[in-house]
Amino acid sequence: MNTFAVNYGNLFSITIPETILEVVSLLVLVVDLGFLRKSTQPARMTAACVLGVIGSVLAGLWLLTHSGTASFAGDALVLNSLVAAAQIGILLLTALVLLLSFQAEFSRNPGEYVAIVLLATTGMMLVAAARDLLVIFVALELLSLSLYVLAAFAKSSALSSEAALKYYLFGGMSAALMLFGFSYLYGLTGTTNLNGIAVSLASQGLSPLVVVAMVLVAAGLGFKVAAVPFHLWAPDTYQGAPAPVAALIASGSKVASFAVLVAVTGSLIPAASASRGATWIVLLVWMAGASILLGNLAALAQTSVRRLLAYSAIAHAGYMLLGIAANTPQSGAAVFYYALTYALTTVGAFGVIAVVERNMGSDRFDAFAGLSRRNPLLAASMLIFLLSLAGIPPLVGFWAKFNLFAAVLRAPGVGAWGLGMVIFALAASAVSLYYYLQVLKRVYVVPAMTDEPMAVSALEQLVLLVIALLVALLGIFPSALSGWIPLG
Amino acid sequence: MHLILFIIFAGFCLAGAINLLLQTHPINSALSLIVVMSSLAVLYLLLGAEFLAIAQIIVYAGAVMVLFTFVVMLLNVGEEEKTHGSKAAKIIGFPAIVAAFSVLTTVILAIQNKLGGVKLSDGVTPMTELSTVLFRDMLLPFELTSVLILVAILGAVALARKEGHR
Amino acid sequence: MTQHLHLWLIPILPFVGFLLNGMLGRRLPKAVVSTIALAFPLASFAVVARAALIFIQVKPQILPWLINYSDWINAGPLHIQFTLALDQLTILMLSIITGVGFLIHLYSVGYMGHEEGYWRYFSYLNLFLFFMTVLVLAGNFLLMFVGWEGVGLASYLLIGFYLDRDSAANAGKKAFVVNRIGDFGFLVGIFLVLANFHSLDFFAINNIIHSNSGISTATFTAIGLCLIVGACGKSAQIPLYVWLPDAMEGPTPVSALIHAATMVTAGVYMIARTHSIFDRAPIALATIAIIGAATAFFAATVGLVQTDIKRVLAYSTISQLGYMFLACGVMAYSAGVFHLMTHAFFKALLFLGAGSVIHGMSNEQDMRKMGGLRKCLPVTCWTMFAAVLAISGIPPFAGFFSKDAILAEAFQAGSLGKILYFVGLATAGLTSFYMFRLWYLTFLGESRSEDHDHHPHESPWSMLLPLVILAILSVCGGWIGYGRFSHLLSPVIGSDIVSPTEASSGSLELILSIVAVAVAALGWFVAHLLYFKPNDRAQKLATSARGIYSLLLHKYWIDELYHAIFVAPLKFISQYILGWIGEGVLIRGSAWVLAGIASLTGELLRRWQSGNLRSYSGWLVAGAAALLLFAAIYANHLGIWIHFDPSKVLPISINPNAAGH
Repeated sequence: MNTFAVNYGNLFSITIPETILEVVSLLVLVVDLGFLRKSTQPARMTAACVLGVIGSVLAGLWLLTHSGTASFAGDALVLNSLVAAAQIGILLLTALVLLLSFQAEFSRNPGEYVAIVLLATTGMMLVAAARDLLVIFVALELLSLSLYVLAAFAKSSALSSEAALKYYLFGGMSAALMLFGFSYLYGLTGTTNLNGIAVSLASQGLSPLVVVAMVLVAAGLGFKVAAVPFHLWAPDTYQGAPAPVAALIASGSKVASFAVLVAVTGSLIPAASASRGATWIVLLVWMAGASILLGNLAALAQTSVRRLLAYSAIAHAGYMLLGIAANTPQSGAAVFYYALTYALTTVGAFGVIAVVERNMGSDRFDAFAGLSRRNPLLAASMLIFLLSLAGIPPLVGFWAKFNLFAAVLRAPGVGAWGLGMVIFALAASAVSLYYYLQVLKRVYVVPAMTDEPMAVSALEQLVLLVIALLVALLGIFPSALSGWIPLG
Repeated sequence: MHLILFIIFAGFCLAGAINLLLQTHPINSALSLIVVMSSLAVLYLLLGAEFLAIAQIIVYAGAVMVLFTFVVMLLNVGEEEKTHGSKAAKIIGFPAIVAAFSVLTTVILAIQNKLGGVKLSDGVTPMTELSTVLFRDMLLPFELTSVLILVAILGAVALARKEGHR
Repeated sequence: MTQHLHLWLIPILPFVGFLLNGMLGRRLPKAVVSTIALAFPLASFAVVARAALIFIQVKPQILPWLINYSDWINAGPLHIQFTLALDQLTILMLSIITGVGFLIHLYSVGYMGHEEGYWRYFSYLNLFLFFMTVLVLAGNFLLMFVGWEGVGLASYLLIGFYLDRDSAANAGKKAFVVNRIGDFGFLVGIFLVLANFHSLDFFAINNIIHSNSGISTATFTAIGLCLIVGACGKSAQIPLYVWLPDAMEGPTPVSALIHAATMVTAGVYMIARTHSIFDRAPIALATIAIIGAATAFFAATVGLVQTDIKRVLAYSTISQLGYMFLACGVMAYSAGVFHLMTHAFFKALLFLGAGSVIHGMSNEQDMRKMGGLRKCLPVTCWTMFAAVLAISGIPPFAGFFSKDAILAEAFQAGSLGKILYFVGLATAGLTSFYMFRLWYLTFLGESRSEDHDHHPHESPWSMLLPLVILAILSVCGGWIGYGRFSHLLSPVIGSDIVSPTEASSGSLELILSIVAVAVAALGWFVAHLLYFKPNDRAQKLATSARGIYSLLLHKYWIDELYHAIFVAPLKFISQYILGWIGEGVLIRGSAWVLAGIASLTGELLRRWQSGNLRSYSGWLVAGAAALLLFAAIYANHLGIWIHFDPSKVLPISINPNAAGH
């Protein structure tokens, strides 16, 4: 049994950013339901989003000024530079999602919407920092439950409730499997702490029960990152959820889940002996291979941009799983870098989708036709996002891939199999360009049905441009983040 | 004696769970759930977790389930319609469950003799012990759970509130 | 004075042009757009010229000149700097890129004058120059790859420039995707280099290689073969050449700049740049030589029967690139680069001339409808004649010297070289035939245009000036001579492994030259017989060999073959098999009918019963079971079940007292 030995005083002192978010989320509720009941819908949304953004920025600032290597509460939470980077990234992504929500019209309950977004963010931050099975599970549930609710928020849309329901049921079942696996791990090692588990497993060898536990944990975490064969929810959820929520599911939630996957992998594969973790690695590699293959192939046939992004997300999860399977500090950092930059790009892409949907009422390819004439800036942003996702230099997506695969190849014990997987991933990402170009063809070539400009608010335009600029600049100066995410 | 009690209530628990799934009327399902909860409480008691057992009865079997039945009755939900189900669930689901179950059984049977046992006893875990765990050792997950409940309430309110169509 | 030479200006200047025109061009008047578009490449050319003067004349000894601008990627052991490198090869390439590039920009002012999206065209063109100069200046593989993909992007945008043409968009996409396949090979090669040399810097790698690092031939071969895939994609060699003919959908000056003079030669440049790897990989070298010779011959045969003037030139480009590959394959890198240079002159000229014809004929590209244009387009006619002589290898035009050098080097490179020499020789005859065919059909005889009211007109001066300058270069470009040229480049790409047949006699070379010229003259003669005066000989020939004619006309059915082998199965899998599993009947369920917008509770409960959700759980359990089975079998295979020591497993206990450590 771990003794965290904390009282409320030091609990608050170690979770100040999370506490800030929670307080702000309550504040949002109070302001929205207390003072703004009579105001118009847009005003309430604006007020709630502004507060939410302020909260995320405050929490981020605290992290920026207080980051350092530390572990708290008996190793239940750690805050090293990587975790801080992930947390700041998550906060940034949340802020961007909220900024893109200003115009959202899907909900009559802006207060609840923003509050739950902030609480989901709290969950993500804790997931990224958690090093204890109990904390991981509860934080993951906090994150998941918030996202289930958010996915159903567009109550007038049947697709939205369908998406939420599928997400919820699938999530519930995966969580049950994962909890089952956690209970085996606890039973075998007598501790819920990841470090403790690593030590204990190292001393007792790999028992069949551990293998079973690994599979069950892989099922739970595989669901969160949408890896094959636990990916089925992704296309429907990406398609049905309100655009900002889909962006959050595709971005922040992914970053957090990959962070915890890195941590869990570290404890299941004792550093001293790579061979002992062979089963776990093989599981990850097979999930990765299947995700890359299925994600890329299925994306080829899509005609809805959201579904296309969902399948491409499955493929990207596959690439990152390869990095996790390599299990070196470099590859872990490379996964962080990949997840963060991928999430940033995806938020941008969903921002564009949101604008197009609001104007055209659909996210199908046809809706994007002639975007370059109706709004050149929006089209240029989409070009940058999609090419970055395809891994075209000098955009950041290329560096993320390069860095990731280089790290995989440098991992000790990577033999012909590792090289083969990397070559396979490279080939698959070459194919992926095809389906991104299918969208870009609509954006740039196919004539629009109408020539009237796409209505887009100045704020949205600005945020999307900033994201596009970030994607391009980080591509030109890939080391700009290296002070922040140590690339090795 | 303890073993017999364990077997009886574990059986109740399983039977209740299966019945819960098979019943077509929501009220019957809810009642089966009460059986499951109560049997679990007895199992807790057998393991010496006295407080947990009481809490289980009062909170789950009592309060939560009463709320459940109320809601079901208020909404006046009728008998479930039987649908023909899904082909995939039959073709893929059943073999998969059998396979998963066999692997798990094989593993557990293979190492059955070598695992430690659980002692069923009258011993009672003192309350102080439990509070120490909950409010000192496990404070972080505990508090997180409260946030989780907040999300659940917020979500329920937001989703259940009537919304006019635009 | 070298300190004041800012290499970064060379790529940045066109980039500024791209930004200015790209962001403001829509609102600027055409004259300003043209000025911006011309001024920045010209300035870039000036910087290159200054660098060339300084280094070639004054202090060649300090080349290669490397500038590290900053740490680019610093990831633990991975340490890559942002390095620009200047050496003789780079200077040569840069001169071609910015010089010919500027001429083509100038030409475009006239050619694209009436197009909608004038500013967009020039911003893309400047963007292309930016990436191309980055590619050439790059001091390491990674920066080169950035330029490499960047030119692909610019090429994609430019091929698809005519927004209203669906075929153009598809051609652009095809070019990009096929290039991506090549880039995949290149990238794998880069990773292999990184894994074996722990560096991506060209010069550091050369040092490692020269210091006998004990890297095996197999490694060199593997790296070499991967790089070849990349080079084949970019330089349109078998089997990845299919994109280049389609790329002719783009505006003609783009074909001249990107698909003739600069981008497509990047593969040759890359092989020359990394030649120290290839020098140690005989199998890779032989592969290059065979691919090159085969492509040269194959593309030339297809070129014989094409009727679209730009398609003929496209296949001719593929064929000439094959020559350059052949040269690289026999380690005659400087001969390859020499041909790269002369080819840039005469092929750019040919494309621009073709553009001038198309411009004059109001967008007619079919040679069967041309003829008799000599009188209307005199400047175009005679400048193109110079280019035709040059590409056919008639002395003393530029192409003669470079093609002769390649063939002579091939002949002296072992028995494989001798075989390939004859392939190259045959290709030379074919080349001469189809180029004269093109010229005769276009400019001589009587007009075959159906539109008799329309009178072709000569192009404006902005289009003619580049033609004249390029014509002069096509005539004189080879006079420097192969000997002096290879001496100039020898510090960079002189082979550092002495080939056994180094010593060659002057008389042999003379004989080879005479043979080559004779073959070219034969090709000219046949073309003259068939096409100089209107007759039906060509028609008869086509009917008598109908099978071959049809095969050539349909380009050996390669596009159809690729579609059947690669594209169709992928689409089938993705649409039907995965569609069926992922979203077809099984998942969607049959009971998924949404009756309008119901309240959430009702909706929830209704859906609980839908078979859909059951199939969801079915799939989830199936996934978990598959993983479980797999892990069990794998772990069993590892022997984990046997070696498991249960005595160390902790007893399961729920009593917190007992379990606490």
